[in-house]
Amino acid sequence: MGDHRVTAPLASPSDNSSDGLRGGHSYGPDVVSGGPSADEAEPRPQAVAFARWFLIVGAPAMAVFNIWQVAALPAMANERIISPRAWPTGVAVIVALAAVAVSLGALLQRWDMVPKDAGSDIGSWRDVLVTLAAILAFVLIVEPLGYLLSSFLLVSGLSLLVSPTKWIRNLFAAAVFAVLSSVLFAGLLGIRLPDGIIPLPWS
Amino acid sequence: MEELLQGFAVALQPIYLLYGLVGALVGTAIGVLPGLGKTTTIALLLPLTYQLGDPVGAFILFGGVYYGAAYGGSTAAILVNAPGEADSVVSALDGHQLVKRGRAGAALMTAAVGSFLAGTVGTLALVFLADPMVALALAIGPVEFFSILVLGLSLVAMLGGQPVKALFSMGLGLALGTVGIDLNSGQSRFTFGIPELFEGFDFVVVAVGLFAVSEVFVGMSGIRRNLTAGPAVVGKLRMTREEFQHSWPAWLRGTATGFIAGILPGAGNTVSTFLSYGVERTFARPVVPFGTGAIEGLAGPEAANNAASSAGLAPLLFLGIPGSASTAVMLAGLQGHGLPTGPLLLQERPDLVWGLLASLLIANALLLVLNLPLIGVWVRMLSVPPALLYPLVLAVCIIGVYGMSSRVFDLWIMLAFGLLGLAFRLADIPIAPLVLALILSPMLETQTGRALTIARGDWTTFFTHPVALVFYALSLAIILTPVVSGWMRRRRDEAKGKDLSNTPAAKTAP
Repeated sequence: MGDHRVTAPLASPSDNSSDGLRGGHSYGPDVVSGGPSADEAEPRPQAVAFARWFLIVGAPAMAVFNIWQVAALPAMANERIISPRAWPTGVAVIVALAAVAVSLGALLQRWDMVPKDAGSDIGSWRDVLVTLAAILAFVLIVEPLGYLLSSFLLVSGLSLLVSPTKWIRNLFAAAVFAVLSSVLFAGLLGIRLPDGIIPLPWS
Repeated sequence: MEELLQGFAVALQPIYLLYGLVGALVGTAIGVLPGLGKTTTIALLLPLTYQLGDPVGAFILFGGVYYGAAYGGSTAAILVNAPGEADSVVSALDGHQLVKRGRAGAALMTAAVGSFLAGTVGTLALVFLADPMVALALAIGPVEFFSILVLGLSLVAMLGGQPVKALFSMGLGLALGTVGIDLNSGQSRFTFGIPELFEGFDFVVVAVGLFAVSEVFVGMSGIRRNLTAGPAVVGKLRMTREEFQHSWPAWLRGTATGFIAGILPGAGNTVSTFLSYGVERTFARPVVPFGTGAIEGLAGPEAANNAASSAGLAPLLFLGIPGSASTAVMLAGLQGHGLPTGPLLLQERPDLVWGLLASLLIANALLLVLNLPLIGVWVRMLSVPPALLYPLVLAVCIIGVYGMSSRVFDLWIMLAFGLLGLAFRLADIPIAPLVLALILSPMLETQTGRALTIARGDWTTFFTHPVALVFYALSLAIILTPVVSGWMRRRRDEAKGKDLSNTPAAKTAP
């Protein structure tokens, strides 16, 4: 094997933390630097409060909704060996038992149910909300405006939001992506993408 | 072996070699990059393969992605301490410490060679397992099948480290799997009169929302504080004789551990890597302590990860049971392409099964040959600005989801599950059990219906089959083991506390 001298970007000690097991991943953490980073040490009371609320109230609420829906299933006129309500009823019992256990664990603060580092991998809640708004806007405009324009607006808008100084690069990349992806997916692979106000010549 | 040779005749066709190569390269790229895991990537490629209309090519492509992601994830975990997926977390423990010790080349070599050996041995073992497993699948009835599914769900719930939360996640997945028209009675369930829900939640839409969109939320939120970078030098890609001597027993142990863990539906790659790390800590005699750059702590889990990837295909291909989220997407792909699942797949489409296994062997060799020389390319991919990466990942998700059905409704569903995925991350609830249970729920209901029909409605039938009882006993053992061990640990700690309080020093203390 040859000598491969390449440089890899290393995360800085101030990077966010993610344990990976939750499927999350950011550019960090660099555990070699030793000790928790500044961001990890930063308390996230709102995120911890949300996690507690979700576990104590949200999980049982989902279970109750499930039971309510199962109970609302109409009974079948003819007698069957297994009715359409049987399996959902069994599942509702599992969900209810698990939800009660999750809720009690969080309420009584047992089994480390509420994660103390909840939200430690969330950098800015404002950016989460703006990303959500951007997706909502995209879903609303994609059919009237068409794929080409909507995808350009989505990619350029989000990249400009978090990196406004690199606006030329972001606009260029968004335009190239919008055109190339529509050529690839609509033109070559035949996937139907909405035309909107700019009909795709290759679709 | 004759069948495998026929498989090579399929896999060595130029177009399928190209599919395998593209899959391996795409898989490595997504393994290196954050944002898209192998599950999401296969899910996004699925609608595209429907357009190609060639299921054999589609599954060879998926096989390349499946193996390539494991290689790519290791590279990011070792060099940058940034595991792209849960499967690579253990590799970062000692792998990145080796980099800090200046042994990056050795770390990459032991990971690559171990992965290659384990992947090859695992795939060859599948060849020999095919006929016995198909015979088993044909011999067992719905009760036994039900009990295997129960075992898989028990493993998913109990081995992730958060059993109660995993049980809740799994329950929600089972509940979501009941949405749609009941095939037995024709009655619609939980559809609220929305025609798009008559066929239930589309598995791919749910998986993309839960995994990828929630990742985009988290990734976008951290960009402004996350852009600094520093250099890491890979150096020469070779191991010393001592490193090799410490690596090869770990490769063998990791291969065995990974294959056994991987073949159990529900255990999957992540569990296999943690088990392998535990095995190494028990049996290996490293030069330096574990956690500080012990090469066994990298070689074993890397081999286990790839062996588990191979073994995980056995329940999918021969029983029709997905053992992990990524194989669940592949099962959805089989169904989407109109192919039979379970033992009938090997009987009706041997070209696909043997072609896939042969292509996996080829992809494994390609990955070893290509990835080490291309290591610089993969590492440079990590320098893609996150400000562009996450919006592009989101746009690709949207194309993938919209492209399947051309329905804006699916984008709303994707977004809803993206938010649910974010809530799950905040509350530290594992996502994989929900995804797996979503696809297992209709299977469980079908098998329950069949078993009860055969038994004329007698529910005791579930407890009168010896093979099923064995699987129930295994499930019970899996559920009770952490409970009993936790209770024993508490008793031991209490006893220690009493002993300490009885010491003279404790008695004289104020």
